Amino acid sequence: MNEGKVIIAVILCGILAYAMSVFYPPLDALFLALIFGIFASNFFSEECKRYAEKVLSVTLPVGIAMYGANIRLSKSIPHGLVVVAILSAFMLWTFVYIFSSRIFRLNKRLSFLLACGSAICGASAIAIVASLVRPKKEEFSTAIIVITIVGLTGALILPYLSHVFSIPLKRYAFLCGATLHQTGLVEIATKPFGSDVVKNALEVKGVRIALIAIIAFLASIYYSEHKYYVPWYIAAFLVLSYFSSYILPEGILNILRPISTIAFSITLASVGFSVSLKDIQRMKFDPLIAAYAGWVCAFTIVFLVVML
Amino acid sequence: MRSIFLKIVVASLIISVITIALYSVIQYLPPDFALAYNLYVLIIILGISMFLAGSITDPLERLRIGFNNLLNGKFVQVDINTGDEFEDVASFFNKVAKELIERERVLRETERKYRNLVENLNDWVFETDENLNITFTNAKAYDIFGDVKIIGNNLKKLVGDIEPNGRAVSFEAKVMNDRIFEFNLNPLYENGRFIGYIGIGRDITDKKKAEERIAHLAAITEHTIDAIVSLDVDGNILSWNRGAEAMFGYTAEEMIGKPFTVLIPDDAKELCRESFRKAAVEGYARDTESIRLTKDGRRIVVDQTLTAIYNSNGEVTGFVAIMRDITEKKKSEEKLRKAYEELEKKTSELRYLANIVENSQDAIYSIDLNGKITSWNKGAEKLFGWKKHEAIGMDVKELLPEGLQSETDHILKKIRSNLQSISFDGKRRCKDGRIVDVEITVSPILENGKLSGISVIARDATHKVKSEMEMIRRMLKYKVDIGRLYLTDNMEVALDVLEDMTKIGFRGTVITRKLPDEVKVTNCRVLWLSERRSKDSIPPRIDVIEEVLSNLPEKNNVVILELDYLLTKVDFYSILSLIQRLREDFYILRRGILILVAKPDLLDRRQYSLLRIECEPLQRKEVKLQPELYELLRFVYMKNRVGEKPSIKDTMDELGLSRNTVKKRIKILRSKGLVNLVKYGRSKVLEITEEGKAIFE
Repeated sequence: MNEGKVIIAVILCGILAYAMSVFYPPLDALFLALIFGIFASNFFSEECKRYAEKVLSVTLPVGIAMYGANIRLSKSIPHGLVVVAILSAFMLWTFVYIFSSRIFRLNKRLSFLLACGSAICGASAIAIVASLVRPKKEEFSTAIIVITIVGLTGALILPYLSHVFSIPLKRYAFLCGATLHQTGLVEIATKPFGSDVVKNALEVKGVRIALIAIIAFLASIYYSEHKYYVPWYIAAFLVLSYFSSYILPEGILNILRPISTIAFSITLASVGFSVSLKDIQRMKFDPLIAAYAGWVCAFTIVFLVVML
Repeated sequence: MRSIFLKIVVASLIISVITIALYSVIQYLPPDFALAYNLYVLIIILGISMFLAGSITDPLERLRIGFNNLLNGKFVQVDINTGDEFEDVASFFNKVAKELIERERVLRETERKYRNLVENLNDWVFETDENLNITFTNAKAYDIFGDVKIIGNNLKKLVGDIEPNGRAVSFEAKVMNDRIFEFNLNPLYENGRFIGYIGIGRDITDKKKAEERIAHLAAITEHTIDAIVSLDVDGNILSWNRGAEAMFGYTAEEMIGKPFTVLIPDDAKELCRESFRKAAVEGYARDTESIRLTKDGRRIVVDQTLTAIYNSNGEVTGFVAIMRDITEKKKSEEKLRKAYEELEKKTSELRYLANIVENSQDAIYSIDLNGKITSWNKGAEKLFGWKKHEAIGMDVKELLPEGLQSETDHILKKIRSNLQSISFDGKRRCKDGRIVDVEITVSPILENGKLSGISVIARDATHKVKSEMEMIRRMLKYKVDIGRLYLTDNMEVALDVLEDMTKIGFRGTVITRKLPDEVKVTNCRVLWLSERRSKDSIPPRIDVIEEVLSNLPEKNNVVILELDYLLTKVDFYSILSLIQRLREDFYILRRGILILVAKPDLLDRRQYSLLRIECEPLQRKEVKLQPELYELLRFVYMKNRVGEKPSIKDTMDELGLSRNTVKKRIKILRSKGLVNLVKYGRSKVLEITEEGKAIFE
């Protein structure tokens, strides 16, 4: 009986988060689902929390597989911009990983999650990579929250910098697409500057999102229990990524994307259900500072490049 | 980050930057986005605050749990890897907690050990209040007192009368079953107030007994006559008992610390070293004859046992040397050995002598004081005819012919009187009834200085005695037989017989009242009967005369005893009794002849008849030759008989005659064809002819 209640609660949290993000796009559905999950877990006993993992085992692969629909490589974006976008992602990944693992001596799984979340597409990338890295629940949750906070900070800072430094719109769009963590944040940061800026920024961001396919593929190989083993949902994700970019019509993709987001939201809700704020707090200040530091360094370089 | 302060600064900086950014963004961006940005800032601040708070509260929570565990006596390592002061505090906490836990563990372990120690202690441990009521006791009390209630009982009832005075008390007391306990009570104070005692009662009964035994052993060790010396591993003396002082002359003060080698002469040191090596390896070394030096330089022989002393690890920690002075024993043994060798030698000699005796040609036998034969050799068997088994136990009178039955008693009497050997010519009767002449030597057999019997050596002398008797009979001028007493009233005749016999080898003795000048005899002993004492005088007493005559040589005596003066001094029957004893003595022992000279007018007829019964008269032989010629012829005959041929000078010297007298007499004898004068080298010697021999044969 409890099992059913827990499953329903988790699903409701995911759907509610998704609904809120739809209603108010600046709030990321995955972040909200995680927070809802954490709060909802307070209404259930410790014994019930483990039932949430059953939902996780279904929704996570589905979400990953469906997330391929979000990958859409723009044919109009210049190759040079693609290269710079990839380099930006690479720098973000590198700086965050170095700060996390070497300077702040966080464990490699958390460092990897933070680096992927910073470099690719925030919480979604963390959710995909986490299925391969198999971090602890609190590490998973910490990575989601930290990346959300840093991303929000970036979304707040970039418009300010645009005003202060009078950054040209095209460059601003590139800067947002190349450095901000989540697609929603890119939209929020660029929306006040017009739809072209949003479009340009999302194109750059699309390049970074596409990198999830490579990272997922490499991670599945690196972290797999068996040599060269690639999970089915990663394979499905890669196939769908290809199809969404080059074959599938926009209408089908528009159906698949919400399913993917809902599945991820339920996944994050179940993760949040199994952790407590204390568990997250126990990860301390260092992951946040490391993510901030890595992002600031990478952003500074990209900013200087863009400005020059 | 290395400090909490830095974290707060960083958080504040981020929040400040965000706030400034928010302010600017709201100023320049369309108002539609203001809510979203405010919401962002809220989320960011909440997130930063959450992680910042987490970095502070989590270590605090961990420390709280750590302290809580510590309070519960558990130590769980507090792991804080914040890199800030919390990590330092946690590290310090871990060290302190570990130290405290370790101390507590040690304390608990110590407490456990002490509790076990106290509970399992073989001593009675107890605690009392100020009135000596027992408030704590260990299990030993139940072994001591059995079912007696201990807790709450008063110590006085259990161990005797003691007074709690707040000071340490030590005493000995007898408790149950007369066991002796040693009690040590130490006072307990609380805030300066005496609250009772903690005490230990130790059963020292066995210790007391052991001390007594040790004292007893120590007394034995100290007072034993053996030297007991303890040594360290280097051979230095550690203890020196009185026996050692008495044996070596050194005092304990002189010897303690000195090397043992002080007592050992140079030539025995190697042997001593070997003894130490053996004792160290085998545990002890016995040296039955060791030479040691005393303080005054004497060398003494000791029987030494050297024993190694081991500690609990089995290592040699010293030695004990026990020495017994066996110098006197060794001397005694040496004496005994020599005596034994002497005895062996004598036994061998005796065996040899016994062999000689057994196989002697002479008859050798012994008799006890009852006249029974106790031994009998082969010579006796051969001479007398009785076999040994027949002779042993036989009365010796069986050997004596008629008339000599009293010989044994007489001999025993003489032997008893002077315990000297007696030799004489006697007669013995053989098993077949024959009478044989024998030369007899009788010796006393003494046991522990007392006469136990006599031994007799008898040699067959039948032919010799007969020839001697015959020779004497032929050569003497008078008819006399050996062993006989003769009576004459003429002293001159008696002296003539004496002189005649002395010329053929008899020893002459004259006991007379006449002065020596008046008795003209040569080569004779003349004893003057007189009350006056002088060199050659003899008192007129029976016992003295008898002693003198008893001490004469065994045989070939010719004695003249003049009775005239004696008869005036001693009564006749005493003299007669003496004569009878002398007669027996002379007859049995064939000691020669005794001539009694007495004038008949000094005796009455009966007395004279009695003397005539005991004695025989002297009769002169009838010889055709004149006495002086007979004497010369007899001299030549006697010399020729033993292979000598006397010269004229020899004859002159022997007969005391002048050359002319001798020549004249030789001329007469030659004319009668009785002697020849033959030339022998440059001188002439006399040789009796067959006709001359016929006079004597």
